[in-house]
Amino acid sequence: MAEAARSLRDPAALAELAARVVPGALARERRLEVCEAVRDLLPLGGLQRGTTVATTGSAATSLTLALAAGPSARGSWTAVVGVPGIGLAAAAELGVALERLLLVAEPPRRQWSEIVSVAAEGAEVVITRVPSSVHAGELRRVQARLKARGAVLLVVEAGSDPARYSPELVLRSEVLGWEGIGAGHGRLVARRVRVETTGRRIGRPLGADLWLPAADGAVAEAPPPIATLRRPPSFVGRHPSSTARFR
Amino acid sequence: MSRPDTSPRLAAVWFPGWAAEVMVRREAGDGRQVPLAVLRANRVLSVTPAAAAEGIRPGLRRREAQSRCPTLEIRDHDADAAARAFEEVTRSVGELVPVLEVTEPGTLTFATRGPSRYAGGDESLGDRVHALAVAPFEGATPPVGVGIADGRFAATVAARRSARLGRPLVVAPGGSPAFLAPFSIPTLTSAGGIEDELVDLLRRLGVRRLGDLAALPAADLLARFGPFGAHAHALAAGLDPGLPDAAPPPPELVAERSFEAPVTSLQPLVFVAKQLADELAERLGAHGMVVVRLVVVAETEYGERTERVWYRAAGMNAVTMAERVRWQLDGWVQRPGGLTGGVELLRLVPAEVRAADGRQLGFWGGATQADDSAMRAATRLVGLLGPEAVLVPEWRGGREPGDAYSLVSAALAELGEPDRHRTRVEAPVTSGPWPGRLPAPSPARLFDDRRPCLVLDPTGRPVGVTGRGAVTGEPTVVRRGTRDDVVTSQAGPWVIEERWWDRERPADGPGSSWCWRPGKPFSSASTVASGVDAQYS
Repeated sequence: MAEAARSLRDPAALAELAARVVPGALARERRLEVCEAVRDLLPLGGLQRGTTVATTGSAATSLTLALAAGPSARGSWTAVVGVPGIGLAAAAELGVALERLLLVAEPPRRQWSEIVSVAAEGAEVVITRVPSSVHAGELRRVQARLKARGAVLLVVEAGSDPARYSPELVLRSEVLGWEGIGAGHGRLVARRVRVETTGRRIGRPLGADLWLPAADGAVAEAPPPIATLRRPPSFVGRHPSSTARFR
Repeated sequence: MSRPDTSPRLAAVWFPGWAAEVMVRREAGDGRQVPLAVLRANRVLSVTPAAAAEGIRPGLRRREAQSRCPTLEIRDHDADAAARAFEEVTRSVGELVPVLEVTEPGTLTFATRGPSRYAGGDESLGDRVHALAVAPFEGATPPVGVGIADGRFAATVAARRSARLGRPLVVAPGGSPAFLAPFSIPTLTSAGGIEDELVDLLRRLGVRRLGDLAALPAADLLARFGPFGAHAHALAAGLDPGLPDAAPPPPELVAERSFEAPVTSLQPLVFVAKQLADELAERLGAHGMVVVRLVVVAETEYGERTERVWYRAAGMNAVTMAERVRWQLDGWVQRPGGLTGGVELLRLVPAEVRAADGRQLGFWGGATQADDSAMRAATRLVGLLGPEAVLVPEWRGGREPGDAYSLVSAALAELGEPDRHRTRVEAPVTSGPWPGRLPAPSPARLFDDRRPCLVLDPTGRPVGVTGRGAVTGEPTVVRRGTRDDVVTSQAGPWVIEERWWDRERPADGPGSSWCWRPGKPFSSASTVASGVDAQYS
């Protein structure tokens, strides 16, 4: 198999495979492994089965796909219910296995909860957008079904009030800027995104800066920009113009 | 390990279109006159004689089958019902033959050495087995084939021929090669489980009959096609080589559970069977093997016993093993008179294993349980929403962000065959590089309909692109409806020659950036209409 051959030549892939086959039934039962870069954003280092995770902010779609990429690469199916226009090329670049992706067109409102539950029977990760007409009780029933099945519900673009989906985790994304593009030259190469995780059982918010997407379209941890490292400590966090005013 | 050169003498009992037969019988009426097909994963699995007469063959897609016969009735495959119904046949034949091997619901195999002596010869055994096989049926008897020959393959082929002849067919000892010689090469696939590709290649090389293949030197086939070529040759020559890579398993691999308190209901037994199957599959997996022949034994506290051999050339994973145990227990528990006591012992013994080839629960591809349940969920979703609403990606290729993949109905894609999935979503090697396409990273949100916007220069005039690919002003603001975004950086435009539209990607503040293209590249700046095709979200 071409993929196998490719992976066998790649020491990193081999190491990952070794990690994947190590017996660890309990931990593996409980959570779905995510890719390295987004591991620090999740309290358990993975997506806990049966939970709901909401993403908001200006990079919510990429962030959701990046979360789904880990389980997808490990053989889980991903179902996308009622999120039209999701970028498949971007999904593939972020690591979602398109051969295990099922897209369901936006279901009629009345059927939404049934469709999501059925999708969760086949897919361990369900990406969806919750229609506003779905009331709390209905959503709770869906979440209970997903819990029984051990699937994860990813609510994409949860808007300004993600709490109404009663998610275990909320991941807020903020685009800090693009690399590689200037005034009339260059091209979009990588985007620096700050992600902050809040949740019911997290005391202190978790957060990280990510390249989302990185230059190859995947997700990677972003080290602090060199510019801030060079700046003298007293200027950190202050805009140059504000220091000018105090002179 | 070495194999005996002499092929064992085997009998095969084969019901053509068993799954369809069960459906027809369940729905009562003289349904066999109705063209009916049973489908699994959108492919025809089994057909009634009436449907076969209309040209419906196993392996056809639903649409193809419907186009050949518009009145075709279609049912989903119910493996449990088929297996349960077959249990009656197994029990009936089991009165004469103690050790039976169920290859799949609809096919039985057993060694004739003992039973044949008991029945007074092969011919007499064939007649009696034929009579026993149709005994459980009320009303019209279904077509059944009984074939006796040297080796599994010859016996299977004989059973198929016998179903058409309507009487048992006995191939004399040593007569298998001559019997097989006139059969066509594709028989190797339908009855022998040889890969399509090899059979197709042989056919294109001009080898049309099994006799032609048998006449070739075995060493040449081994040299040219490897062990599977040699296997095909052995089959064609009427030998029973077993599976090319099958071997007896390590002896310690027996999964069994004895119950302190005898179990009287089926449900907990099935649950335990699933655990045992998981355990067995895991231990075999550690050896890199899968079971091809599984012996399932159950005993009650009063010594009642069921023992059955299950065979599956492709190998069994935990789910298929558990399924077979359930079929067996289901039939056993429901037999006339029932059981006198609770079940005390359940034992799964792998009798023959082969190297796992990744077809079962592979690391890289291969059908996994996840694929299986995804396929079932997709089927249910199609049932709820219709085939157009449940989609899977397929690689298409193109320059625009949304062109790389198109969406096809999940009902048309073969979700059961993950190896084909990867080819579905991968760019074929022959595809072009698509110069000018958007390089990675790709936008995560695509808009079906271009969202109109205006790109304005510092003086508030719309920015356009000239025919030579130059911008008419510096993009400063992108206006979508009433929302203005300030452009922080921009580059382009990149002109795609063939269609003469231009691409410019200004990025607004900490927000999103756009692929932006004017609708009329030749128009003057004042009449430019731009739109947003995609967004990095």
